Amino acid sequence: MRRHRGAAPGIPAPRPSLTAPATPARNAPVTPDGFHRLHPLTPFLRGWVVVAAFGATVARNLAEDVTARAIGLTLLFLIPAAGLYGYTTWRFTRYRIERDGLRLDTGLFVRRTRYVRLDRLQSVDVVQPLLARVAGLAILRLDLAGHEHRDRSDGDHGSSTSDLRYLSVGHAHRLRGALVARAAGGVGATGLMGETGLTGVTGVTGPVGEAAEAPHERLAEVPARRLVAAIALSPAPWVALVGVAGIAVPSLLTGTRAGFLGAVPLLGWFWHRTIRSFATNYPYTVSASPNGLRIDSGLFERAYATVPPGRVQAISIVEPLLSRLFGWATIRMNVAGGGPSVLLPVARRADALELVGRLLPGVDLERIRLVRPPRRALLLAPLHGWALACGTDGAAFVTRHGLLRRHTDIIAHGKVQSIRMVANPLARVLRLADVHLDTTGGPVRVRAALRDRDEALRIVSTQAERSRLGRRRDTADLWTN
Amino acid sequence: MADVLLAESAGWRVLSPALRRLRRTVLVLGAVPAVACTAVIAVVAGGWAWAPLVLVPLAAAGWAWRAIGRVWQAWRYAEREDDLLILRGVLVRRLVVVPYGRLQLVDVTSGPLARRFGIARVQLHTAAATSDAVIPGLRPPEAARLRDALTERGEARSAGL
Repeated sequence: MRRHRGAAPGIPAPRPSLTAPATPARNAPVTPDGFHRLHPLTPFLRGWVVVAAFGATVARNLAEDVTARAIGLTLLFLIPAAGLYGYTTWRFTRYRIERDGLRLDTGLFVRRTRYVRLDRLQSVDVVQPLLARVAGLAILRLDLAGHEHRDRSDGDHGSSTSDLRYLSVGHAHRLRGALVARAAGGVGATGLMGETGLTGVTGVTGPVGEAAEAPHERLAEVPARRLVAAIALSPAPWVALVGVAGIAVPSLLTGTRAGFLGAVPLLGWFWHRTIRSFATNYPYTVSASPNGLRIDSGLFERAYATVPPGRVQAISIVEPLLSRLFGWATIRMNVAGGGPSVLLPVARRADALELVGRLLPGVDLERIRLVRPPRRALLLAPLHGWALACGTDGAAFVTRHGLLRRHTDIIAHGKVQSIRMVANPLARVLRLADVHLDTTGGPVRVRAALRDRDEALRIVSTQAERSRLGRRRDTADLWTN
Repeated sequence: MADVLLAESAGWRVLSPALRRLRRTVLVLGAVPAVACTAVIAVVAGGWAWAPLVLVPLAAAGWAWRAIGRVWQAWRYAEREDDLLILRGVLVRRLVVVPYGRLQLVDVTSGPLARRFGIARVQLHTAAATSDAVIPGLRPPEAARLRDALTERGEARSAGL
């Protein structure tokens, strides 16, 4: 095998036909005992990382005298090594859908079997990085519960994502559909799929195969023009540009070239906040399907995420100063077990409110009256104190903060994990206190800041009661709402 | 704050005095060498006129001694029907409400020193990393009882995420 590679350098992996029986191109190869392999192109894509790392090292060392011969010699060893590594990892990685979960075997020397229980599954995403997209491949990402810390059932060093990389796009979508449908308990909860999975011709054929692309209803989209406008209205690109000018102009005038180097990180930031931001957010569709909320996004790198609505814990509507003039907002959310943190990059406020109502059933932001903290709170927060407010109704607790960049944070009562009241010494002098409603990890933090002490206590005790009732109503173990 | 809550829900429990004893022992173990060092250095380097410098570590230790007592006294917890309350802090007062239905796991830990003093620490985890619910000094039987009670109620009232 090594010889084979040596004869054809530049090909970092053997031809797949060496091992797997001839399979239809659309499906992953199957071993006789019902296990599936990843797509045969996988080692090429993974090996690319090694080659790129090597390239970077060479480029960095170019200043020192590295001869072409040295590079060639290194390549002669590196490419077979990378190829062998890629091939073995591919060869010894296999997965199989079983009765109530997905089994994933990896490792050559240290065999590791990971069992992904479907009832712990939080979300299933299909991600397509650029290179994989060119090759027609995709990563299937499985998010499990217990993201923040050790979980009762999953002693796997806190890591709770399992990636199947890479699968062919069609296969990834079908597999996602099958897993999601089974996790939702819709199809084949009684072992219908278990049979097909075990006999495993493709693993996801049969009734589940059709369920793959569940019917979905489009909820929101991001028009390109609005996204461009929102990016232009955000301060970051302008700050970056001014910074670049501030560094570049003096160095141009004095003729020192080193000054330009200082501008490079700023240019990177600029690129990140404009072009990259556009490319990740442009074709952006949020749709509802029986399997949950679907978020499809990305211009070059496509990501297809599915979030069960019941798993959305808290939502934040962020309105930057200038976007607010146009009535635009960014919607962020916390998803239990990890998941996309942005719900919509740019939305009209009315759409945002409607979407909130969809995701947190029974929540109507317009109906909730926000109450400002007592005036003496301005002593502690002379500026942002003006924007603080909080309010509640039967369904949700809402807080507002941020003078320039206004955040409206919403949490449904049933989603509150714990309630904290914190009073620092200054606040205690003024008889003030903060109330935090803790939620799972994510961009949203719900905090009613600088409330009157007695009011804060009242919030804590009534919230405990409301959350208890809210939890009872909550049927969060189902994927559907 | 404490009095309002005390009125609201009876049954506050305090921590074991062993925790205070442990912390004060550690304090003394640190303070004695500090005072001794200060005394030696002051006398050797500056003469007897500098001896009062010893008062600085002594005062600090005295303040810490008192602070340990106050922190210990301020830390209390109460089991209500549906949630656990933890009240703590002297300078920054905190009240934490953890509903049983939200408990993901309960950790009981006891280091070598804590075991010598016969105390254990109970930490409650919810799906939120910010929950911050810790009860540091409990007698092991009480810690075990609390752990079992919490997990039992947690299962009875368990809600999904």
